[in-house]
Amino acid sequence: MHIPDGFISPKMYLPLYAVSAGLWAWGLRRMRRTLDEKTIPWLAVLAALSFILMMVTVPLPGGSSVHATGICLLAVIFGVWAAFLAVSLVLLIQALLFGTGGITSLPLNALAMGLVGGATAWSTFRLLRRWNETAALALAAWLSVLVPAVLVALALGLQPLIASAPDGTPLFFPYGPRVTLPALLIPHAILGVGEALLTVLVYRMVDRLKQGVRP
Amino acid sequence: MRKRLPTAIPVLALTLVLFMFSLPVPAHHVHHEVTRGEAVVVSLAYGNGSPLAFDRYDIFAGDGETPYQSGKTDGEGRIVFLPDHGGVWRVKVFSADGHGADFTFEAGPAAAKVIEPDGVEPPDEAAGPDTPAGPDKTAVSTLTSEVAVAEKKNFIERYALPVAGVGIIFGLFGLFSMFARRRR
Repeated sequence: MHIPDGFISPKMYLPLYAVSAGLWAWGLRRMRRTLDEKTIPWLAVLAALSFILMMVTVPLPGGSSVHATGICLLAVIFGVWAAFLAVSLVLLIQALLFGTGGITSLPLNALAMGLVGGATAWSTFRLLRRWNETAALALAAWLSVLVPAVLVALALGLQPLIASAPDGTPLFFPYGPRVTLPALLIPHAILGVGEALLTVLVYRMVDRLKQGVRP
Repeated sequence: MRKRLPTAIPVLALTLVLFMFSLPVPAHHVHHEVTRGEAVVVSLAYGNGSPLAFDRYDIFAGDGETPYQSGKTDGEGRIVFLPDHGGVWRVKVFSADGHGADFTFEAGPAAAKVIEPDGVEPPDEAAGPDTPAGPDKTAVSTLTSEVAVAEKKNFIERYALPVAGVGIIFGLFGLFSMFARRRR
């Protein structure tokens, strides 16, 4: 789900940068209020885990590959804003060090995965945890992968419609939503199962290791 | 017959003129020519080594917006093309799930040679008749150094950069903790 540079039109990434910049500033203020010197090291550890998870690609039949994200863990334990900022930082480092994901596509990747993925996970967990905490966590993790995949597929699928040459040749990305939606949703629906298992395991581990880590 | 003659002459003349300007082959015939030469091969693979197979690509000359060549990578994730001039070339590769690459590189003009009808490449006139056949040592040494560079790059990408990334994350959060509130 790391969209590289050159795939997203400035018509999309410039407004997204403006929105993201405001949300990054707002999130930073929120984090300063909610986190303290005891919880920040834990957030750093889980952000590092997310960084490593995003680098471990799992090949799928057909040539594509997917990777876990750890976003649900960040959102459920530390809240949506901390997840958004941590994932944005991870994506920035990956773009600068490895060229994985682009600088121009950073706001789209960060908003889809960090903010929307985090908010989906957080709200699903909060809504369903009284019914069954483990099931709520697993569903939250699965949705934290699937919902951003829908957004990224739609954003990519919009590119030929918003940025094409006069003769109709796409300038940035050639496939429409009919192609991008199944291409992203099917692999990420499978990946979501792995993400759910991993999230439940690590959540239990963190809970046992450090009671009261939540802000 | 006498009445038909004036009509037949222009028709015959037109047929003759068309015949003179026509190609010596049927209009719908497609030529083919098999050539062998030096082409530029771009190989594309994911970080785990699996190729970007059968993915769409566009190649642009310099800053051009119209593709010089478009197509799909082969099963090994390769693009083969013959640049018509030297300079900077840009390659964009797209998979439907948003993976891909957009990069530039420099390449000289490629040269293609016509293969003889029996499939044997024509002899190189510059080479003397006593030139011994064998591997091109320059090409081999270049290949070896490229492999060494690739191995070094793989080591850095695989181990050093991830450690650096984790270090940066811890460093930035450490910096942030200086400005965070203190727990009472």
